[in-house]
Amino acid sequence: MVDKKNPNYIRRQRAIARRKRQIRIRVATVTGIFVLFAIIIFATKYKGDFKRIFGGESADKTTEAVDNKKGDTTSEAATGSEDTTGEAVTDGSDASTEEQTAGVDVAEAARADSINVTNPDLSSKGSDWYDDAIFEPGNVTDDAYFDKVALIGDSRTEGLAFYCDVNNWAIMADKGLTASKALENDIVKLANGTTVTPIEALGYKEYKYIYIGFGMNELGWLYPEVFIDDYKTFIEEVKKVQPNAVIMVESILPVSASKSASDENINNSKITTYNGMLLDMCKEFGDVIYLDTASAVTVDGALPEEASTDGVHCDKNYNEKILEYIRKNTYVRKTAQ
Amino acid sequence: MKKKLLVCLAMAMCLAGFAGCGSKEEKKTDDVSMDIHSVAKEIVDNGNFTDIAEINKDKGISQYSVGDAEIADAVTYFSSGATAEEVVIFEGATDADADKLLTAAEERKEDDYKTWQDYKPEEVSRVDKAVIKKSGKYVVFCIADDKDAVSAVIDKYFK
Repeated sequence: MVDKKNPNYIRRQRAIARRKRQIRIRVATVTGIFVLFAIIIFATKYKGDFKRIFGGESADKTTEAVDNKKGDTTSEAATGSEDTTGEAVTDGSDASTEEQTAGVDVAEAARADSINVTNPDLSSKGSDWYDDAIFEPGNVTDDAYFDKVALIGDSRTEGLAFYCDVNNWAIMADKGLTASKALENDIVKLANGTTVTPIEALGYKEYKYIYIGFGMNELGWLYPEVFIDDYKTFIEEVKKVQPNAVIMVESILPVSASKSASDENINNSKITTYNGMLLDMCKEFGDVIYLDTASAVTVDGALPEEASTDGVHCDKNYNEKILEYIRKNTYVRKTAQ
Repeated sequence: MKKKLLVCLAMAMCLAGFAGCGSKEEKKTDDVSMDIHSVAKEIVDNGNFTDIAEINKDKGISQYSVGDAEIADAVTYFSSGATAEEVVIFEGATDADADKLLTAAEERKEDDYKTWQDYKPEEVSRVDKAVIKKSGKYVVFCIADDKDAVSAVIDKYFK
């Protein structure tokens, strides 16, 4: 029988307990070191996955760019529209003072959009048409202008978007697109992966300058009046979504002389006729501008042969000429909508 | 006590062992390494292209449904709209990202087929010759007339 009160026994038990404690501490230390190394190795191998799951990228893709399925990214999109065109003409007893003030207001508003309307360079202007009671011509002074621009059109608009060094405009274009298809076809890819029509895409952000370019794919139509009716319908829909935007209808670009001579539909004679109809349409609207971008690439009534491999789609150099025309020939409203 | 000690050490060893296991997705990407810009240029120079130019890569990438694939770099050459010609090389952040980009490239070919069938049917035969290749974290998508020449360039760099 063990005498548990024996001092020697007690001393021995304490020594054993001490030794056990020391062993436990050593085991815990060794285990802890193993676990620590394991965590370090684990984290190093899978850091990529952790980064993807927990951090870094914005989870809210709806605040990112609007992408065209066939075109370019734009600057940020937001739900709803903001009215940033609140410039008002100030009241005054003196009419000339009022006009001067209004002029200053327009110039200031234009400057805010990176446009100069004070003695602008109009030397490159083609056969643009605009109501000078409503609009004032100007030059783009900085490519920040394109933050507020939407381009809508067919494959030539797509080519303009691809080949020009502007990355902040909204492109809503597709090969084969017509004015009527643009109302129905989901060709604009949003940042969240869904695709919508150009009209729906316009609803995601306020645009102040909208360029529209259709006609090439309608040249073969039996009734060109249907093309104009479709175009009018499209513009009406654009106005509903973007009531404050300056809408500019681009003239249809010419084709090369060789293409024109060989194609019974896609030829410069038809293009001239269609452009005349587009001009009349813009005059009928009154507040829609006819922008003669075709004049930037027309030589002797045709697209130069060197400008294109197929006589229809401009190469980089000639797309840059069209862009330059757009930069040199924009328009601002004289008064707020 | 000894049993407890043995159990603790065994657990710790197992944990270290799991940490040491590599993910089956984390393949070695060191085997293929290339300058995608010079390779794309070489493809363009040798592929008998008629209408192609380099465009801003973000514009080019926007033509693909890349989803959440992380793209380390990309180079994109597109046509003016006259032809279906295209050269795009993606460098994914990882092999797993490159797998997603490969899927995006395959979808791109299907989209191109539908587009050109409606728009310019004579380009469909060119789309049919599309070259889509992946090695490691690189994915190449190319529509050209000279499919064999394009493949030869790519195979030089892909192992």
